[in-house]
Amino acid sequence: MKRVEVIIDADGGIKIDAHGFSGPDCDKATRFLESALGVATKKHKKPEHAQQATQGRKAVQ
Amino acid sequence: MLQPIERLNEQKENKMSHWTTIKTQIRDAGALTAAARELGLTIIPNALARGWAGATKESAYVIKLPGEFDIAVNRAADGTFALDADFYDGSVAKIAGEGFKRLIQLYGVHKATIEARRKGLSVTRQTMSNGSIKLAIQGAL
Repeated sequence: MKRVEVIIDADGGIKIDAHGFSGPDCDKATRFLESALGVATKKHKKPEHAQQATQGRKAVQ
Repeated sequence: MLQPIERLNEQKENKMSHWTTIKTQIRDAGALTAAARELGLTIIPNALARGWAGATKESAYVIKLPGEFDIAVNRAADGTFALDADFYDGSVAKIAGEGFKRLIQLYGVHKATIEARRKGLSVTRQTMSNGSIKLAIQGAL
């Protein structure tokens, strides 16, 4: 299930975490929050994103 | 209990996830007002903020504090709102946090909530044990 989590730390730093998206949908889903909240300082894609192109869905099941 | 199972399913389906780190910039007076209100404070447009030794500062917005000093809110050169106050006696930090951290955190919470709801998304808010606030956003993402 697609889900976006926004974690706002007590020191004011914000982390936006997107789960369950494929490819560029992920960036699209969080862009409105990123631009509204401030300046993105770091972007990180979790490993499963890199694996997706080569492994496909059946390969891991 | 739900979350670990969801995570497991995501791995199975090989869906991606990513995270982005943001440095908060205050641009929305409405969200700042909501943040101030949550701290029990009122915000007044075009007013004088009280500072050190009776000095006042003309400000685009003033967040009124119960102590001797207020928070002045003015546009910086880059168009964002900058916060300014005298932290001398600790009264400002006590309510808004050291370096306005509490106020800025709540600004982020309200700004993200406003933007998500504007898109028709649902927002669930949860305060974590380390003081972070987590918003879970779901819907037509």
